[in-house]
Amino acid sequence: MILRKRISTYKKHCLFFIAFLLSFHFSFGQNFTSKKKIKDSIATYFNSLKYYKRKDIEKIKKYQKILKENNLDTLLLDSYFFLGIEYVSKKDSLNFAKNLNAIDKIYKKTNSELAKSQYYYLKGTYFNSNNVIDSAYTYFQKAKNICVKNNLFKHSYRSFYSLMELQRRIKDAHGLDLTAIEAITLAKKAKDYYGLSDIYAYIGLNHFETNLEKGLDNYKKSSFYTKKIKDSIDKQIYTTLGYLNYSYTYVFYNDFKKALFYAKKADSVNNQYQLFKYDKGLQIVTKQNIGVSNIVLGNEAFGLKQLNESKDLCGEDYPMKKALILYDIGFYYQNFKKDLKTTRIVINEALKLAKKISDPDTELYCLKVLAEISNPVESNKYYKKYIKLSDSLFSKKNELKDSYALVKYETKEKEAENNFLRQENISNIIKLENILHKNRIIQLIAFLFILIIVFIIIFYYQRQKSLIYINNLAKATAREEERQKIASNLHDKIVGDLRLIYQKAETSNQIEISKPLFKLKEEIRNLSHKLSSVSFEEVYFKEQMINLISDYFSPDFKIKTHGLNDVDWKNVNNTIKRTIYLVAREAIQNSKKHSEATSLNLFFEISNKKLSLKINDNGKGFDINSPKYGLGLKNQKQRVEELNGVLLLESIINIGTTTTIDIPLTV
Amino acid sequence: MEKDIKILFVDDHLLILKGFLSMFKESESFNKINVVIKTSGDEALQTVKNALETDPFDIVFTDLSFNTTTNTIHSGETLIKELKKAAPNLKIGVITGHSETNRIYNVITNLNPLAYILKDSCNLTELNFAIERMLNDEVYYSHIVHQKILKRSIIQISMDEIALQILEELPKHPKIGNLVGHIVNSNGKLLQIRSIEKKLSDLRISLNAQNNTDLVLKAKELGVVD
Repeated sequence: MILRKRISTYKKHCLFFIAFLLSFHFSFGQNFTSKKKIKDSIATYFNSLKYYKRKDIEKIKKYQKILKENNLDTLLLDSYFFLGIEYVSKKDSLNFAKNLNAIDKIYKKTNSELAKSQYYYLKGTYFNSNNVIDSAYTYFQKAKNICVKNNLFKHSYRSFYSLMELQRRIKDAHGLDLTAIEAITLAKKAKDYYGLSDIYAYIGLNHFETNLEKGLDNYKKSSFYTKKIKDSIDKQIYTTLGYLNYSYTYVFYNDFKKALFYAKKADSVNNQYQLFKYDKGLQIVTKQNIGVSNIVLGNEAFGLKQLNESKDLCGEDYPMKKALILYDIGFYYQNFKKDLKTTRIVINEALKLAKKISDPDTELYCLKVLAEISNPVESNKYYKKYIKLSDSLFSKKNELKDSYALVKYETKEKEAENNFLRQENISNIIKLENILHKNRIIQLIAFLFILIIVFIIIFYYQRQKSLIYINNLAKATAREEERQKIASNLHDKIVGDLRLIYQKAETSNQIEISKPLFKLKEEIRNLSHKLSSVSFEEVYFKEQMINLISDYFSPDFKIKTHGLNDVDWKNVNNTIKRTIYLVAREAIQNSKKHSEATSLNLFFEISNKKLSLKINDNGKGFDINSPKYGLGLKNQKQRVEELNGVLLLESIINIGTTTTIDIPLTV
Repeated sequence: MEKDIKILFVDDHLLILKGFLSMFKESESFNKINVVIKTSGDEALQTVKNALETDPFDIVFTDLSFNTTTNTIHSGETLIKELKKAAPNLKIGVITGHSETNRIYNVITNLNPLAYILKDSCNLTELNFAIERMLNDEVYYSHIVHQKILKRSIIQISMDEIALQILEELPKHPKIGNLVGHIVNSNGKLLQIRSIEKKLSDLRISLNAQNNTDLVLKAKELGVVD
């Protein structure tokens, strides 16, 4: 019975120590890679900071100054974190608050999620140390969630352990398991063997009291992952911890032989790797376990020696363990030696220490022992104290449990509410997107509509244009027909009649009549030729053009044609061809009659759906504005413009005349 | 006594027809020549057709333009086509005022009349000469018509880059074979000897040249090459 009590306190401290160890392992276990020596040395120091050492606040502050100067935010954050932990354990609220503000500043500066999570974690630690479980739970939860969300797995364990520790304290085994499972899932994902080993050990420790098999099973899993740890010292430390877990589990079940067996194993690893250099706590607990087991198994002297050594190892650094070991020694004197005097001295020392470090559990055990060994009056006094403390502890624990349950409920409710809000948010977003979608579709339709309208307008204008063009062509054709009729009338009727009269006049030798008659006849004939133009349906335009040129060609008026063969005349509208023909004729005629030119060039070209003809001569040129050339030119110009074309006339005196026409072939 | 020659004159101007008639009446050959006149294409075609079995016409001279609205045949060209269909052996000539190269070229290339005589220059001597040639199936064109056709050939040659190259290169080489390698077509390819010879023969025909030396001389004379 009594041993059990002892073991439960032992367990509590052991767990506390493991949790603390782990939390630091995870805050320092990562590799700091930096090229700067300062960074390296500080990082090394921070890494060396172990749970059992009183952290040297002044030294950390000194480093902090250097870190600030070098803008090493990550390490700076760590330094604040250590100080925060240290202030919490010292219950230095003022400095803790200042420290917390500094972390908040770093968070605001760097927007680092790690800083935020550490901020929440420290807050949680603060509330935890002040036994405000619900707030502590909330903050640890927040810190954990940030880590998980941002894949800061290693940092998340710190919060996981704290949460599990809280759950253990209020005996929420189910909640603890859930937290542990979440932590394991993450650790497996990150292949973090430290984490896996720790968590399984933790689950084992949490379950062995009610279910030995489950406890042992989890220890096995823990040691499985311990073997995968690469760093040899870390591996041995974890192995030792595993042995100690077995050891005190068997102590709990009063199997002291097995307990001693595992404690010795732990001791041998401890000695082989000199782990006490890194972790004095391991040695203390090992010796304590060996001591207790030996005493119960009858080897009292050796057991007492071990306990005393263990107590001396504690020094000033492990007051909690020291108090507990003192109680163990007292217990030995009371029950095995029946030396009540020594018992009283030792237990009083333990009680004093327990009160000093406010460890109510140890205090309670001590009070009980004192009550048992004292005279009835004093005994009564001690029992009263015992009951009072026990009651307050009990009610406090109940209170904690209730408030925790409330917090848990509220947290869940809040989460549900958050989920609802999130869903509502999502549905709102979807609604908004739908509206946007609709708007976009409407815009698209409007755009298409406008496009169609523009298209229709363009089409309409194009069609209008083409209609005008076709109309113009038809008009031009009609006019041409009219001209031809007049021309043929002139030629056949008037010239024929004139010829007859002329012949008659000539045969009757009336020269004064016949001469002007001949001239008149020739003039009218020329006029009729000018007006007439031939149909291109039967004769190819090219041939016709050559015929025209032949009419004017002579050795002293050489006409050269370019590009006539290159144009596909079949595809050119007849009216256009006629116009080209007439303009060419007019230009050649003018050149031959008036310009005294000796050569003339015709250039035919089709480009950009435009037919162009350029005619130039080397004649004397003329004044374009002279009315002498006005009429013929005007006629041709009008003809070209009827077909949406352009006629340009340039004449430079003594250099020559150039006529250019451009006629579009399509609309 | 020689066989009478039966000639039909078609013109829409009666005055001109009467002119022809009086011309032949005054001539010595009047006895031998039987002249018929018609003022429209329709009448002329019918007359020729009617006479086919009994006493067919030897020659028909027709104008090219008929100023008519009532008849189906509107032009000399149509009449010539119809006559050729109705009487394949009939010799057809054109006597007209149309001296434009275009009309001349079109009529000659499309209808091949045995004669093309211009009214302005037309007199009894010319007509007699033309009739004589026509009866021997020979072609007769008025001097001006000849000139126009020649000029046309010149224009065509002057537009033909290959012909111009050949005419330029010909005097430089003693043999036609040597021309190969100097004549390039529009695609930049060298012309083979056969194509060159074909071109030369075409040129000789169109310029009425006896041989290649004559051809070069004529081309220079006509201003085709410098």
